[in-house]
Amino acid sequence: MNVIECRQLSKSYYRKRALQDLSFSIREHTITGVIGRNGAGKTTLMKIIAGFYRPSSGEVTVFGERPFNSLKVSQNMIYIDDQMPLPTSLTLLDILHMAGRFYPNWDHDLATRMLNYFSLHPEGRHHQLSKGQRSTFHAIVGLAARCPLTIFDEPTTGMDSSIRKDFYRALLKEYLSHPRTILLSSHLLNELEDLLEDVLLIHQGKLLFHMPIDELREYAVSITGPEKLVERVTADREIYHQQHTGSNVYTTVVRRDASILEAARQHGLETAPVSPEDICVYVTKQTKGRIDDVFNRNQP
Amino acid sequence: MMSLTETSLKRVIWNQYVYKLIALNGMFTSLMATQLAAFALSLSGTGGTTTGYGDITIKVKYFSGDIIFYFTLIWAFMAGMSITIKAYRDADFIFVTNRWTSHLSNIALLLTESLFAGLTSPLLGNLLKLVAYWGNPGNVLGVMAPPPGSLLMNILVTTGYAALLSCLGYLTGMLAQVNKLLAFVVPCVLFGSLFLQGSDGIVVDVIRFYAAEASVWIFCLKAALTLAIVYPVIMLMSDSMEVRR
Repeated sequence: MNVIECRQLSKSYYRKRALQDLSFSIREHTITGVIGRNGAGKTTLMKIIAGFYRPSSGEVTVFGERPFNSLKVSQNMIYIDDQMPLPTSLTLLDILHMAGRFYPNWDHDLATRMLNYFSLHPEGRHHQLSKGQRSTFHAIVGLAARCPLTIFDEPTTGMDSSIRKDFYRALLKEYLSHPRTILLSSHLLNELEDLLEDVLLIHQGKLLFHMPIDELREYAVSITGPEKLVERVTADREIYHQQHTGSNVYTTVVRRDASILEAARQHGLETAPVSPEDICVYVTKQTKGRIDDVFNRNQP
Repeated sequence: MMSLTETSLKRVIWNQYVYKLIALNGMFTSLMATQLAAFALSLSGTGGTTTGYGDITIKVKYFSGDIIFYFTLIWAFMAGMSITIKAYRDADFIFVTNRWTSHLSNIALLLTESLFAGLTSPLLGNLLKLVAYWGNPGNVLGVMAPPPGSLLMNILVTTGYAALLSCLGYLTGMLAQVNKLLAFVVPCVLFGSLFLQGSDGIVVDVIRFYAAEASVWIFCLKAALTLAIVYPVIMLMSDSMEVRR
């Protein structure tokens, strides 16, 4: 069963197009990573799914309903990001109690144990938390709510690496014990690799691909060897990335298939897998030249 | 397996209402602060004259709850406007809601606050008269005995005005949220009418429609009807407003 369906979804603000013709569907009980560069449209997409924004054109359905103004979607969905204006008049524990009133599957015991584990004081106030603590607290709310659709928009903002790891582990455990559909946006794909089942890559408001992470691991191959030889083997193929890795040693990343592997083997070229993170970086490259060029003004 | 849960409009409104009553308890504190300030200002008399005949000077001072009443109304307007700000609207959408339940729980909150203001303001006005009486021993010629039932009438009228003013504040705030330009245009039109057209203006007519009403019950009816028209209009107007931007 599909929990989310988008058909030709577009969104523009004034004249700027934030999303353009996105069509995809998300199956029930999957963890999907919404990946993209800064400003790619990840947040806009997820906020439309959450029913906060209205699509400019196209259609989106969540649990079979249009999410905008849907009480059913709101009841079964929680959206977690670092911008949650929680009341300053309530203690953290009060806020957890309050969340429990709204979400029928709320696990209060889990919430308080996590609060304790992450050393957040139950009598503390939301506005007194540091950036990382705030993200941790929001993540606790998101996990304990046990909503059939849980959306985390950059949930690890400000968390240190140890807390990030704990969060990913808690997320996985919660998901296994209480399966639900999870959308998780991030630009740190390598950290999420073991967690995600599917990857939805957005670039400049367009959907580049939506595929299982296992498929993405097999998506591309890097071929290394003498420049001329590498160029000959990879001619007439789409090149995702290329760079000199030594004197007369050249590395090129192309789509992986049987024929390219065979050709590389015949020419004695080295082949290596390309990590999903690297593929995403290569296909969404939008900078001109390299960062080094910024500092080297003599170069045109 | 996690199954979808259904909820009712009533339940969500109730939850949101309780959430707001607790989270926005600062509103009640600010009402009390406003009323206490008004009370303090009224202690030296809300009006008076001094007349002299040779060696004799007659000072007449009036003590009434007027200042408390007007301060309460200003507070009601601000209370209505303040819950339309972005942070409060976004706060609703952290938990379960849609735009309708968000508005309806806001309306319930404003009516509760109006009732609270309507109860406290006349009571404080009466307290002021007692304090004036005790605080000026031997000097007070008389306290006008309030006619029986007047406290109840006072409570009704003050609640009605507070509800109207908080509704006006909510409308103003929402207009400003829907279109920033309106936040500028609306006050200009209102004050423009007040200054240019004077007592013939539409604004004065509107005020007169309520203030000149002699019957408390008809006033209450007028207030209730106004709310029953204005709030749904606000809800329709902001039905497509995006949140958590």
